[in-house]
Amino acid sequence: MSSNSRRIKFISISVPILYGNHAIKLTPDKRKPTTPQDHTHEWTVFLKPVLGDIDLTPLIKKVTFKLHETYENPIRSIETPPYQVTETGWGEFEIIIKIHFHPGVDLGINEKNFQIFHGLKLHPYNPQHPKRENGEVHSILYDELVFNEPTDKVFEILTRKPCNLLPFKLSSENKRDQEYIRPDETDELNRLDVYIDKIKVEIENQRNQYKELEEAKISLINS
Amino acid sequence: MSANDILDVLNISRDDNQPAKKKQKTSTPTDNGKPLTGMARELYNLVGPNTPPINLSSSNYISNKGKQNRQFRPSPWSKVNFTPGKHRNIQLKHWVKGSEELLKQENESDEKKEYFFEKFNIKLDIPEFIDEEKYETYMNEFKDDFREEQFTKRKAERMRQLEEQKKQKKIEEKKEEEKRLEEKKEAEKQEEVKQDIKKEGETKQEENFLEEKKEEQKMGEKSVEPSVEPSKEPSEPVITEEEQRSEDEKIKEEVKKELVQFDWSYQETKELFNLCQIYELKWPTIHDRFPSNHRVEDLKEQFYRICVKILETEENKNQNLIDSLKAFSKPRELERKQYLENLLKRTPAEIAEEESLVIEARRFELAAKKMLLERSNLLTLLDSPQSTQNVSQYQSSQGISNLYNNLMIYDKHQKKKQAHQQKQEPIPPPIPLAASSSIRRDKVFQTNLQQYLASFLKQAHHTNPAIKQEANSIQQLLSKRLTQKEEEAYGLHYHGTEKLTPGVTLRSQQKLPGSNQRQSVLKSVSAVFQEMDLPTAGGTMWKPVMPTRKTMSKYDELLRSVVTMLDIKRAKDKLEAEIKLIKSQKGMQ
Repeated sequence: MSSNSRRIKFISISVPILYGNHAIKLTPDKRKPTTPQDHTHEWTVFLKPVLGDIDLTPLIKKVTFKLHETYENPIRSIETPPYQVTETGWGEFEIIIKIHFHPGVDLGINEKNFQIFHGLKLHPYNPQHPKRENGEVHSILYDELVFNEPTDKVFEILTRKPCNLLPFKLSSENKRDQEYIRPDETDELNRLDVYIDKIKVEIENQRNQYKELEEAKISLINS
Repeated sequence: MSANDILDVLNISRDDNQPAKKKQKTSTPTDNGKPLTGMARELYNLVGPNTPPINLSSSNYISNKGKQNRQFRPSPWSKVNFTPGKHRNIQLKHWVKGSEELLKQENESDEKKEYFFEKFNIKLDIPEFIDEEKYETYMNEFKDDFREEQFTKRKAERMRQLEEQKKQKKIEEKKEEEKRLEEKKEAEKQEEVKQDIKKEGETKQEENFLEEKKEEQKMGEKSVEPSVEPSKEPSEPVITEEEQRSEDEKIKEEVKKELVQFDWSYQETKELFNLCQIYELKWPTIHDRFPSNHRVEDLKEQFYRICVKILETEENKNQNLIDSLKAFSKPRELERKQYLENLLKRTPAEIAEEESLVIEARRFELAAKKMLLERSNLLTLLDSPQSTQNVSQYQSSQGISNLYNNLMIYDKHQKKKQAHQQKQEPIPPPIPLAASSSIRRDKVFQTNLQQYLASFLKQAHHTNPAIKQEANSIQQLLSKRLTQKEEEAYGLHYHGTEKLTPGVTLRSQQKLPGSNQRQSVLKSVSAVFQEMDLPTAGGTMWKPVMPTRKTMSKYDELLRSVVTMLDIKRAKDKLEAEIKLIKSQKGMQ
């Protein structure tokens, strides 16, 4: 076993990524002669690191997007960034985004290929997102690729640059539904805290009731 | 060479009558042989018949000239008699604009019309000089004042000297004879000192000036002396009377010598006032015309002090003027002139040296400023992250180097900010108060992760010495001495003894430790979440909107508390059921 693929125990290292799709209604002028008549939307499915200047090519050999079987050549393989596929269509379906890491023991990455499922969205699905006049839909999800017990090589690649420095501001005001920023995390934490507090109050409430009932039971038995 | 010449050479004929009227207009001045403005003649020649459409010369100029030529009529001037000033009996003639008749009329209409330049004939208001008697009293007053002042001053000086001498005497032999000898020597020394003082003294007066007058002055002084002497003597009890007297005599002699500056005869001073009047206080001229070899400052001094006296006797005296006159200080004036002279007499080499010194000084200043700036920056750096950490870990030399490394990282972060600031004036910001005392206080030096990685590295070296390149990445990371925040930036996390399955996962798909429950429990948790309107990934899959390590663990916390709540609720429900059962058994209902 090469020293490259030795794993560093007890640590994990993560890379924030964005994946999802943009979709826009097809206007007559956008249609190409080859576009089928029943296709109503043009969409792009993609996978990318959150930060633009992070290069994952040392890790990732290629990314494949498995489209619906009705598409011609449904498995699209993208070898270089940007990892994205643009198509037209009329229906929503689940796309399997598969990350292929560089194989080979000597390269030292030694990770299994990894799948992410993304439900293609063509129609507005979240009432909180701003409605756009041109019918643009963005279904973009934040997630983190977590390398548990990374190999030395992976560790080396991922520590070349701090890749978790999320921005604190949106790059533009109307990209609210397309970007994730650091305050979002804080907001979510605060929101969860509110829920936790609610639950704690409820726990206290239940416990008191339980105690009362217990006393009532004891008094009942003794009487 | 003109354009026509060029056309000749090129054998091109041109009809000169052809040009349009416009062009002719501008070309007329050249035809008349008048020089054209706004353009060099040679250049204009090259333009030739191809005159540009814009008019090069200013039309104003041309039209003016034409007008002048056409309408010029000389105005009449006439030679007229006049008297410069009213009190002079000279008849002079000058040319006046206007016809003779007109001028005569004017003259008749207002005879009193003053000569135009008369208003520039002004006289300085210099106080009238006084008679001899008054002058003598003034001079004597000056002398007395001066004597008294100098006497007290010198006496104090002498006293100091004597005291020093006495100390010396005590140290030296105490025999009387020798003492006397000493005294003689001392006296000699004092003479020398006196000479020195005289040289240094504010009033360097030419002593050879008007010997006989000095004699006279001395005669006058002697009459004043006795009144001064007795008042001084009792103030020196330590020194014997004889000594005292001789000392005083010496001082007086000295002072007398310096009284030379008051050697101004009445005639001389009168002459001075006269010259001042004539030359309107233009001191260099006055100095030039004054017959004796006084310096300008001497002249000024004499003039000013007499003026002060005179003005003070006036009824409605101008105090401001007197004060300003009194402010004149000859020694200072001399000093000032000396400085100026030195400044002017500097050689180029000296000037160069001075300049280089100034530049050097400025450089030092800048360097000092920069240093202050850097220092304060460093101190702010040190001051910002105050932790309650124990300082003991920085007391070893390794701890110090750790501190240094950490600071370097901070420095990098702050460089950008500094670059911004340094574009502006490099004013060192105020040094934070607590900074100096907080050098040792700093942040956590080794997070758990770093400690773990360091030990990991060590282990790797022990077990497999071949690993070097790979270990480097860890080493590099370690050398960066990351802080907790920076670790987050790298997405690094140390899990301790937690069990990890190697491989890649998505954060959102990581199994929450809290979700390790029976299916039924999970279902009710799901129901609770839905009730709370908490965003979920659907089904029994829970994930935050933005799944980061923090949100995931928070989510887990929420999940656990919900589970706890459900447990209690279930127990409570069970209890309720039991109570019901007991009640029904006892037939209470």
